[in-house]
Amino acid sequence: MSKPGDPNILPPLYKNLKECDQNGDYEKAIRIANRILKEFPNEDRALKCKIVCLIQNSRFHEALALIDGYSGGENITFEKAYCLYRVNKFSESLAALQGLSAQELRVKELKAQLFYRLEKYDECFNLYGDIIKNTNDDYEAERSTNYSAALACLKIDGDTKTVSDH
Amino acid sequence: MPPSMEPAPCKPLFFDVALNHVKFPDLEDKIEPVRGGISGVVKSMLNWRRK
Repeated sequence: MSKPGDPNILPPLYKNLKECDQNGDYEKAIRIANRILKEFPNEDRALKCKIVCLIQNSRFHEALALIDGYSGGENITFEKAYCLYRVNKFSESLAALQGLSAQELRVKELKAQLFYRLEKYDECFNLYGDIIKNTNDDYEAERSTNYSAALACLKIDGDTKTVSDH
Repeated sequence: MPPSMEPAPCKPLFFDVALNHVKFPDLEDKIEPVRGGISGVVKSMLNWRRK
């Protein structure tokens, strides 16, 4: 049996945490992260994992409460912006993204979704044009759908763009 | 008399792709902490090569 505060318990717990992530078992992952944090409250990596788990399980307010009380070294700016997006605080989410590089794909992706929710369809449409041109992964179909949605909303607003422009 | 029917545009489908970017941080160094000394350095380099 390990003594309380024995750092040797950490590697197997982190290994379990990683396995839960791979299996998509975020509830179990939260329990493991809590166990780590109970004995090692400064284990920032476990806290970040817990925040990701809460988001994946749509517990955005709980995630935001953790994020707001956090002052450690892990970068959780994107996670904060994503939570704000999901609780419909679109302008605050955009403001949070200012803390990250605008060139990051994840930043562009969330920004495009924020522009859509803020009904800035022109910006949304242009950003999707850029994202689609510069990515090659499993989400191309979803992005094309969003691109078309932005175009449809632009048309309703009376714009004359066409998809073939891009 | 009810008002006549009018077509209304449907809400386009829109996906949340950004959620895919909410991911676990890398935990490898927490699972296998790099031990001191030359063997630890070599081991971590080998692990890095394998990634």
